[in-house]
Amino acid sequence: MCKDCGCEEGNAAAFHHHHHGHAHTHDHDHDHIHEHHSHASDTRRIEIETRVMADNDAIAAHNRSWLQAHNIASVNLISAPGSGKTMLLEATLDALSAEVPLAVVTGDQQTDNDARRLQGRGANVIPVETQSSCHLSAQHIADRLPQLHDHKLRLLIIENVGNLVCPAAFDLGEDTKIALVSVTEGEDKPIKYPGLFHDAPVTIVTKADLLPHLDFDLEQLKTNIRTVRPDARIIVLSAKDQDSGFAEWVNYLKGLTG
Amino acid sequence: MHEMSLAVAMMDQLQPYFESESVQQVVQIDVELGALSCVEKDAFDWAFAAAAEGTPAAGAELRYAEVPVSVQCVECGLISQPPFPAMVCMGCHATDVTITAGKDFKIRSMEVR
Repeated sequence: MCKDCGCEEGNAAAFHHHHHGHAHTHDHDHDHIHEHHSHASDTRRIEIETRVMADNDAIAAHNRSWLQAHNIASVNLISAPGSGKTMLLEATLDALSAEVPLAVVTGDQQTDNDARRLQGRGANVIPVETQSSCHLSAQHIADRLPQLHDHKLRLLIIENVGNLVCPAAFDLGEDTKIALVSVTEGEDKPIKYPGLFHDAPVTIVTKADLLPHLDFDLEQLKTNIRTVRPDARIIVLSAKDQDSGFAEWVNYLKGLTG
Repeated sequence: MHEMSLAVAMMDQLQPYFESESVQQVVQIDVELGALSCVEKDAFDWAFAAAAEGTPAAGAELRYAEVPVSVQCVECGLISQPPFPAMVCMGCHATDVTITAGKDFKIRSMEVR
């Protein structure tokens, strides 16, 4: 009987070895899975080779097909909390909703405060309270596609939960991920959170009206964005002042519905 | 913390094997963690332990292979590993590259009895 785990294996052998859950160290390349041999005859290895995100991605693919079939362009706005997503969307809806039929799905862990701020500006606004989840998932969007079934709708803006990490990992089925970073955050945000900034073809730099009051190095921010996303389109704007950057953003959205 | 969503998704992917392979206990699971996968190892350990409770995977050892980002250069075709988080060809320094590895969080295999 094995003195370690009490099993009956190995009585006939002078030496036997079991897995008891302890870590083995082996020489191997950092990107190579070492094929671990089962020493005990009662364990076996099952190959799985699946991506954990596969289920979310399958739902996202369905969302993507649905939106494309209905000729609805879509963007997924992701940023840290407090970077100005909702204020930007308030101004965006005011500027755009008369010309482009649009809908907003807005996610927060609790409250529909953001949805309330966006209502009454000519867009179909749908809140999602994610509760314990710190990000929107493809299922959240799939569940709300029936509410978007409007033959006139041309643009869906998804305002994700304020969070620079988790939302970037979850494909929702959107056309374009858009990152927001404000001038009151650090210039190194893009290299601290490369997952998001790499995936975003467009980064909006918000609160530009505050630049005269800050020691913020805008060129350094742009350099950092382009380190992780060399072809990034960067739009610097002030939703408060509705400056030329804001006009560029509105035109960009109109162009998506082209 | 999205590691819990991922742990639940992982359990959903393992569940069919418990039945089809008559698994009584999962001893160890090999996973592959891409540098751009946005998954934090310690957080996932905790989340997985919670998600696996009461299942054959309770107590299973998670073993992580960390996969750095590899890119293929659109200009010269070279596959290289730029220093994270830069996205540049290490051969010709072009920035037009596609990611060939390092984005995913994968379940490779599991050892069971």
